[in-house]
Amino acid sequence: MTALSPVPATGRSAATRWVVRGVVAVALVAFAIWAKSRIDGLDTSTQATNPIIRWEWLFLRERTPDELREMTIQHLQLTVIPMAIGITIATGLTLVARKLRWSLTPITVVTSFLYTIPSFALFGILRTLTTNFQAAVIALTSYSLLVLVRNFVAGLDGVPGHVLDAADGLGMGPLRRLITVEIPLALPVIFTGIRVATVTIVGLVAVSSIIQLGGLGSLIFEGYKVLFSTKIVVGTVLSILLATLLDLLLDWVGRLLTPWARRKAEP
Amino acid sequence: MIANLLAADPTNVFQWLGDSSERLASGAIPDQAWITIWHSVAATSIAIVLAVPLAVWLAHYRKAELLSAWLVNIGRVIPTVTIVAVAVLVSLRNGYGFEPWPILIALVAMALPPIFSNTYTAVRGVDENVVSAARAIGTTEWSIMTSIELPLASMVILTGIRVAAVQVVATEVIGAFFGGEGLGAYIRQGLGNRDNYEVQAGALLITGVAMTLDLCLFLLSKLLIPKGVSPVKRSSTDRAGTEPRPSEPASTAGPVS
Amino acid sequence: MTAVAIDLRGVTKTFPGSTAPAVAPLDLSIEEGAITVLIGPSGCGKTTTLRMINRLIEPTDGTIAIGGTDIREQSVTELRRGIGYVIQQVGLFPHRTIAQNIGAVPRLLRWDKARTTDRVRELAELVGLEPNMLERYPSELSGGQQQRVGVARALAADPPVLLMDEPFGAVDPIVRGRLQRELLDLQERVRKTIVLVTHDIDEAITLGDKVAILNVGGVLEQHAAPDDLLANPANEFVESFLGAERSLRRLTLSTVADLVLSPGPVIDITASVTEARAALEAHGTEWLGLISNGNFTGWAWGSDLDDAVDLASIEVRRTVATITPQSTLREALELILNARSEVAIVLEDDHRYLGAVTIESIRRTLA
Repeated sequence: MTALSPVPATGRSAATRWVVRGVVAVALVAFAIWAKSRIDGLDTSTQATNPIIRWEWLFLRERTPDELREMTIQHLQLTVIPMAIGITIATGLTLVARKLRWSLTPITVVTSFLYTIPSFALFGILRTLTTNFQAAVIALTSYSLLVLVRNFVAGLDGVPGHVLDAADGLGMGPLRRLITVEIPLALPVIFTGIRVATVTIVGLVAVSSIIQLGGLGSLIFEGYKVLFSTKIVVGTVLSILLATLLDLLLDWVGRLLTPWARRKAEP
Repeated sequence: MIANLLAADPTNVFQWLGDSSERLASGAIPDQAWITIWHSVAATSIAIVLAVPLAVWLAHYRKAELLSAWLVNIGRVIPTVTIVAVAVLVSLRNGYGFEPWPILIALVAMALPPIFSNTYTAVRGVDENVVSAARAIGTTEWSIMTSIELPLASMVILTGIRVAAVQVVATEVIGAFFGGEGLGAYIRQGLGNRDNYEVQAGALLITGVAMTLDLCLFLLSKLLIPKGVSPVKRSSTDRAGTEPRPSEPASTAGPVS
Repeated sequence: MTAVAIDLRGVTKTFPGSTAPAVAPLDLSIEEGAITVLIGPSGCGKTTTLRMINRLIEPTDGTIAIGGTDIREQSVTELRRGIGYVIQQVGLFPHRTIAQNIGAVPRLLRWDKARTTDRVRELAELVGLEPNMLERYPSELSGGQQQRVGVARALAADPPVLLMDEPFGAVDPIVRGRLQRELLDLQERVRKTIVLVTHDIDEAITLGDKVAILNVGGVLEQHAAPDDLLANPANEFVESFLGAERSLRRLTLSTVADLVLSPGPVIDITASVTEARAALEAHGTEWLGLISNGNFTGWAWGSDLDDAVDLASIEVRRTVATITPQSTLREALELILNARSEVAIVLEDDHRYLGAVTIESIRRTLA
């Protein structure tokens, strides 16, 4: 499972990594200085010189920062709320599937079914039944379930049998075994599932924007309707940034929680 | 919300479905369904033709590992809306109109990452010993790719194609909001006219198309996949210190829109 | 805690879905403070029997008592916390450090921190782990080191009973030999009641104070000390299971000290040359060992005696096949076969002369 991190951490010495980081940092600072000078030099007369992106809309228009912030927060809400609900439900389903092995097949069938319904159709149906926001949350949650349940179950199934045997042999009860052995060992796979689901949801929120839900997707859609490409570019870039940052954040949290997975035998 | 649920009497949706062909400005159901279906099938086919041979070749020669990882990630983070919007805008600007090129290009772009990455991962995952054994008895590299790696990877490749096909249908529907036609037009119109039954009917039709396509591909996979290829690959978990791995590469699939 | 005996009475296990029992009614008295090895072909129920002792498998019928108490009187978790358990794949918790792994049972038993820490250190030393390893993760250790941690973890709460399921099956032969010796050393000090399952007859003979040979379906064929087993196999099954090299195996089991040593072709240095010649004749050898105050000083050829005035003035030869009383008969035999002398001189503390070992004396012991 690949992360979104731009620099693959493996196969390079610590020294090389620091050099790369240094170069990147210097480049970023240089770019920031250059960009600052360009932004300071902007004025309304430069309008229409750039067909793709109008910088003065982005940097000189007074309402732009507030609008962008609001849309990003909406987008974030529409990502985090369904994910939180999805993780809760998926945890419950996973525990049920573990307790009653036969229930795994129906759970998988139902979640696959939900995954197969085109999100837009699901938004559409739900929107006729409830509010826009609820419709979006329900649809997005239902989407996250398949990936989450599959990874949760795979994570727990992946815990080596001999470790469980040893845990039993030492006299751990089933609940203690689950909490102190199985879940920690399943965390890497569980986090992979959460990351994939989160990034997917960020992309889907953009779609839900078409039904006037706000979020960065509505910026893209507006940009399309009025043929203003700046909004499309800004909306897309912010959406990608949001997905990448959430992915990196989750990756970081996941690593923090699984320190043993980092250190490998180097005798 | 419960009240709304009860109000959604399915009889009315089916009534709508029954007489829609006469009263609809947006066109008869079979016409719109046909547009959605041919867009989806064409785009998925093009994506298969483009992605599978390339991925098999690259995976066989162990090339472009970073590229393949990146392709999936990029496919996952770029919003579908952007792909469709940009395709339509570029097409309009160059005088190709709304139909059918922009939507086809957008759909192919959507379908490529899951098909490519599943194929690549699956071929990489083919047992080295099998490939060595084939090489040892004098099989050509071409035959190894076509008669060993491809069949052994077929299970996962078809999973990727199924994920892609469902995504393609979902994306095709969005095309209606960018000036295209197809089943999405009912949702667009229904939302515009505040006609809930039209929205619901459109959504049901779209779901029907997506599921039918998925089912067809599932049946096709039953026919195509060799009997010896196990349906679920379990990684061996009895070695000390090994990290648990996710069960299927299919979970690398990109966003379904 | 002192060691306790384990008693299996009519223990039966039939797994659901199979008609034949995996373990037939089995009666077995496991001696306290000794290593009992369960061995047999695959399907003999040796692991099943072991796992019934800590109730990882519940017997279908029969009773198991540890130290006279039925194991069903305690809760399963309580019972298991009082029994050490070591398995082939070790089963260390990959997400816990070595110290946390060893301290797993003390933590379950809610020992306070200081006591646990002390105990972990003590155990690390006992099984021969460097203190700096304690903060590492299992994946950073070699297979042999992991197995030591597994043993330390099992001993953490000082349980009277230790169950070991093919503990050395996953390590290479060299490390296995070392771990086996370490286990014996450890047992010298801790004196636990150890039940060990293996499929390796050599391991059974090396480690076991008692060996129980099981046949398919959990039928006990023979339960005896290894030497007894090798000398008097109860039936054909045991004989064939012990293998054709049964006698050779016995050689590894007995030490030179077990032999009735022959006095050997030696003579005290105070004897006269004539007496020495007589001794040569009597022993029928071409050389003679020389003893001074009970210490072996060297040897001389018969021809060396020709121009000697007394034995003390002879320039003795020192190259000689010597062996200690602790050496196994196998080592002694090997030495004799490789040396030209046909005898090996047994020396205690490198100099005290005890006697000589000949092929004949080894053969007499085995007969």
